[in-house]
Amino acid sequence: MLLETTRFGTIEVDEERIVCFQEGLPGFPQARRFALLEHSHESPFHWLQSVDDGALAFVVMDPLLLDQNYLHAIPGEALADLEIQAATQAAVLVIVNIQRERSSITANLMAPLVINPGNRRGKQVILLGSGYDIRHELTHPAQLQAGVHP
Amino acid sequence: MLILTRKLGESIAIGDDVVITILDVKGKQVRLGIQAPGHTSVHRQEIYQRIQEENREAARAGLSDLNLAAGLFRRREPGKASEDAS
Repeated sequence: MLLETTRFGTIEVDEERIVCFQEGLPGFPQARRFALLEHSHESPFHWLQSVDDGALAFVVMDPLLLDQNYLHAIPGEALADLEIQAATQAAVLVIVNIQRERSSITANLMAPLVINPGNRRGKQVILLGSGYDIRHELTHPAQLQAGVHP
Repeated sequence: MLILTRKLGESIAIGDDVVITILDVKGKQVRLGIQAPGHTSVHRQEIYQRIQEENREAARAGLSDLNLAAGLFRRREPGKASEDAS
């Protein structure tokens, strides 16, 4: 399908690859369907473009690039809700917040986007008591270069 | 806003699936029991609000913001010699 977006103009999105967040995302309850767009081959980041609102897109990344043990923090009930058998079968992304005025690039490790790649259903899960930060600073480029490559 | 007065042990039903019960009242603290289907998210308001605000702020990122960030955090292909190391 063709999608009108404010950032990328008109783009073609494979309908088979659209992920549905049935409850929307906190702050954006109406935006339910999203498509993952590659940023560039060398970039660890992706865009998560809303299908329902062409002006809405998030920068996202694989949290395993920041913490290889991150999947352990995803609660079983969140997985069960999305019909995911084991955390290793989930596709997990975290939203990146880029703020030039305070020179900060952070990843929201407290509220990952958990996706079942099989039925393409997703949910933003809030990890309580996990110790993960809502603003995990991406301060060391080396951290990413040494990370695992999905 | 609908305002209801409830006693200890009494409940409020919201729709068919959600029941909130007053479990305990101690001074200024109230303990609530919440029964809701698994797909319904239940959160303390202040935490949910922080996630909402963080999402709204993150959604302001434009193309140039990400290009800037990606310049700082380039991912190297495994086993591939870095081009800028020469």
